[in-house]
Amino acid sequence: MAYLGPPPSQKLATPTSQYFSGNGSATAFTLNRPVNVAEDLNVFVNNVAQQPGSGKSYTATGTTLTFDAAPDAGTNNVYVVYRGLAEPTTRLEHPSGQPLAATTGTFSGAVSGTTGTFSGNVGVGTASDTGENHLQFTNNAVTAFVGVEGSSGNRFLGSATNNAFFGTTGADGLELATNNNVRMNIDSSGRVTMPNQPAFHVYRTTTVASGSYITHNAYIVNNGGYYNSTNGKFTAPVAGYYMFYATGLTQPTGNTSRMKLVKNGSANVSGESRHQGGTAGAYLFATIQAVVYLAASDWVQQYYINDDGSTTLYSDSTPYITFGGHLIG
Amino acid sequence: MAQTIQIELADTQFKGLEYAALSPQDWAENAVTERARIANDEIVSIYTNRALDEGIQIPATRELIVADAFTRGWVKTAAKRNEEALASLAE
Repeated sequence: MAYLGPPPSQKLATPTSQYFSGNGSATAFTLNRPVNVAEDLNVFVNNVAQQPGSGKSYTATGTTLTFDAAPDAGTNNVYVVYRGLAEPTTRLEHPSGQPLAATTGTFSGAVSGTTGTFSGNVGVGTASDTGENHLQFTNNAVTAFVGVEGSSGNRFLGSATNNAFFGTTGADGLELATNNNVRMNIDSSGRVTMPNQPAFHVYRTTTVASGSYITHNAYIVNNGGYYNSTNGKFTAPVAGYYMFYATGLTQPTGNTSRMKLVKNGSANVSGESRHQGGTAGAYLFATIQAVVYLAASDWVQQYYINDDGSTTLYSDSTPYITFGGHLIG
Repeated sequence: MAQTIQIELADTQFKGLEYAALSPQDWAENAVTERARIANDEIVSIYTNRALDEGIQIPATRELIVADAFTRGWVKTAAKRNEEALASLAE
């Protein structure tokens, strides 16, 4: 349907007002904004409405308000409301306590409220949330998500009864990831796995000469590849406490056989598995366990020596010579 | 072509290494060569899996695999990855 006339206002209007203080003698007062006629104003003196018009209580033109008699002395006892010059404003005040329904919007100032439902994603400090059902916080190019992904389960980061909470409240597991790969997994029953934890178990199927750092010709586990079968060194990828163990089958035959773990080529970090005496042909099983602190790039090797300088550490396809360990933390 | 990495240590730093290891030279060489070996193992694994997926013939040696992995862009240097990550943040 055709419409004639000025376009309807798309803005709210806020009337403006002004106070004056009478002194008992002044009859003219300067207005903040010009008016056409006295009827553009509602004027109150000592809370009593004044009649507009010439020969009545007051006249007004331009920026001058003139009373026919001076208002009494008093602070802000003259009150003027501008009727015809309401000040337009683009600011929309959302009623407190009312739900806010919107699909898009940008808030550059403070936003407060107690209830509300967002059907889409919400970004804080960012124009767009790239996730699904997320509340996304972004600052200095760092982004954090809080919310739910997928079709089931409740997963969130936040607070539960004043305790920090990071996990799931449904029958879902929890995954911790770095570099976009899962590094730690806690399943819904609480079983913790760390698939990238350095761990190795290697063995040797042949005997070892006395006075040797032992190399191992086969491995069952070498997670991360930190054991090097070329030189028999396990090199720590990160600083931390490591658990090591080693075994071998000694043949002391009247002499002393010693097996130990050595760090960086010199430090005995395990104590010594020593067998002395024994009859010819007798075998003794040597074992070592040790918790060792390693700096990153420190290495540990299995070392064997017999005091006679020649008796070997025995192994075969069984095998008897083993070496292993893992990062504790 | 072999590459040489040279580092200079203050006397105090060298004494620290002498405390930590029987041979500072061996310790340093092992740290660097082991990290390189681990990285190359990772590259070979990445390359082998992708080559099998895409039906590409796998080179005969580890050296050729590592070289081809960079040539094809299947792996990138840490500097290149860092540069790309910074560029994506600026978008």
